[in-house]
Amino acid sequence: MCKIGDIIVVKNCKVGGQLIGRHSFVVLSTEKGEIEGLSFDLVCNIMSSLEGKGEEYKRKKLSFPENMPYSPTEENIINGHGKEGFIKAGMYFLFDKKELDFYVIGNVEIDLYLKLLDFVQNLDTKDISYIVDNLKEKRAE
Amino acid sequence: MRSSAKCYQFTKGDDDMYSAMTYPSIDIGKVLGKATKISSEEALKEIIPVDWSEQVLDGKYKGKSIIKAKDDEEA
Repeated sequence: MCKIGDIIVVKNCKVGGQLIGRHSFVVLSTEKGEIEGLSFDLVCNIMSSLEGKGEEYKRKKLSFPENMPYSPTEENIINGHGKEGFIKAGMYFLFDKKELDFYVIGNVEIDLYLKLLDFVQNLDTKDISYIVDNLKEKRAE
Repeated sequence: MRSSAKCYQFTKGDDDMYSAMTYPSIDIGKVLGKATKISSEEALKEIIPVDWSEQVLDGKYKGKSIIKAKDDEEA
């Protein structure tokens, strides 16, 4: 069970049909929906680390309009990592909770969440994308 | 002025309270209507997973309410 604003760790993210390592996401919606015949009930933005990276790397990453930086003070995580990163605010991962192996580790603070919503309003449509690879197709056999 | 987000106390079972109170939902239909589909491969190629502590990654807090108020500065 998760809620809007939660930070979740997904253990079974798929890339090209293969499972890859754990990734963290911010929950934006838990409403049911359907796209291209695929059902979803969880919509998230992915989080990425900037830790240990030089200023040039950070500058490059944050120059992308869809990448929204956050500071470690904007999360609430017990034993949180206290490191900076960014959220891919313009990129929406669609999930089906039934098929997802995930758990909640904390939440983003309301100020960051509102900033996230606002951030997307100002994005060009070409900088907004969605991913459905983690959804299961219903095959009529 | 106190920020409600920073001063709330949260206990197990209060899930609906915080969600309904402070975090507005987005219009997913509207957002997806103008978005372009991409593969997860393309999406994840530049993502560096966040380095949480082992305790967090091992799901030590799985399912628990772990949202905490910051140490206060009372207004």
